[in-house]
Amino acid sequence: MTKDNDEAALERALERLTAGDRRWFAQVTLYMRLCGWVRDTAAVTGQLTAMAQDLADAERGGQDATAYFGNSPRQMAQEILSQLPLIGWPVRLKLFVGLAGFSWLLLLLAAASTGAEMQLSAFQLLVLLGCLGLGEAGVMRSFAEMAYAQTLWRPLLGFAVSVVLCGGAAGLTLRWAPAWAAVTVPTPWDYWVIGVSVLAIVIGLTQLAGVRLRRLLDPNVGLIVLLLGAALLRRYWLNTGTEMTQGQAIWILAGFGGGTLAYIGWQLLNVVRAHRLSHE
Amino acid sequence: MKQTQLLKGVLEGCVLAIIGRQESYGYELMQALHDYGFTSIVGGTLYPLLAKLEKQGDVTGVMKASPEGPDRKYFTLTTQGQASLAEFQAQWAQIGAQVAAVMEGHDHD
Repeated sequence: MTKDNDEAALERALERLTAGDRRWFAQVTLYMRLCGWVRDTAAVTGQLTAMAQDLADAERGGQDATAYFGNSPRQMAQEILSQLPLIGWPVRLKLFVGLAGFSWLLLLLAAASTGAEMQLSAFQLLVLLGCLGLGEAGVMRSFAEMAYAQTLWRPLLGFAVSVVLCGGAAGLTLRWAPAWAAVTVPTPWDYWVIGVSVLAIVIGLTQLAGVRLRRLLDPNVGLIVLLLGAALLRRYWLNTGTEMTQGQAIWILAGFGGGTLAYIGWQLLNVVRAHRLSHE
Repeated sequence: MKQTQLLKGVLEGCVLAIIGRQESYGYELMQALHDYGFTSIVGGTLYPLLAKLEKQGDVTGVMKASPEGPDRKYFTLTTQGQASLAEFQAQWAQIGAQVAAVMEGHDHD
């Protein structure tokens, strides 16, 4: 069965449920999809479809979702997920490439802003990869908790803590970690490295967004273009020994500041949208 | 001793035995367990158990058209599942006899 067929089968099964049970099941679905992001998508969808169909039979027998599945849907979801197969190697590779691309982006931004020549450290890249991997796991867990949260503050706090800890660790890495196994990139190759990286990261993230984040529109592409554009400009000033003019500063502040605010706003909108989906 | 602790040890064998008699889907299995007196069993216990049995290779789940129309996931026992069931039956017979002997001795005391 293709992915679209799997989703269609789940939708058909959900349509047979009562409104109340559809809401109950939407929470389980959201929780299992977000907590089960490392599990095979087809296996998760297949499991949900089978459970929805059985619930439809239970409804005909006079039961609702709580009577049929019990009072611990989160525990049930966690125990089911622990038995399902992990995502396949092609998807794991795509996720790894996505994380590695973002780590490379951060390393590039830091390296582009310092020194007469751009220095890129493999050690710092590996540490960044670890920080971002842990951060993503924390963020996905926070989103999953929204399925059963009566108020948003706790999952938002979890989200903020994950971002701050991960971001803080990444910042400390770039500022203080030793630059072991470093490569020095002289001018004009530094412009090429930044330019090619923009293309590679944008194409890579677009592919990744298509696989994993289709339902939640991903604004990261715009943010990356903004950040690497700033890196290119910074590199140009360092290479030519010139400084930013006041006019340039205003344009950059407006573009970068406005873009960053739009990015944060879009992410918050996704958080609210996900919370609404779980409580419809 | 709580019933849940005793139940955890035997539920897997009971589910294998029911599936071994005929292929079943989740709701049908639940009804069968309730008919046998396991009325406290809910989906939150059964579905993780079915996922575990499938992962272990004791059962396979296949989507099939049902008489009522919508596809359902039917579980059947694999060869390994039959061996697991036979092992459970042997262990149950042994433990059952041992517990009965202890209880008989306790009653005489």
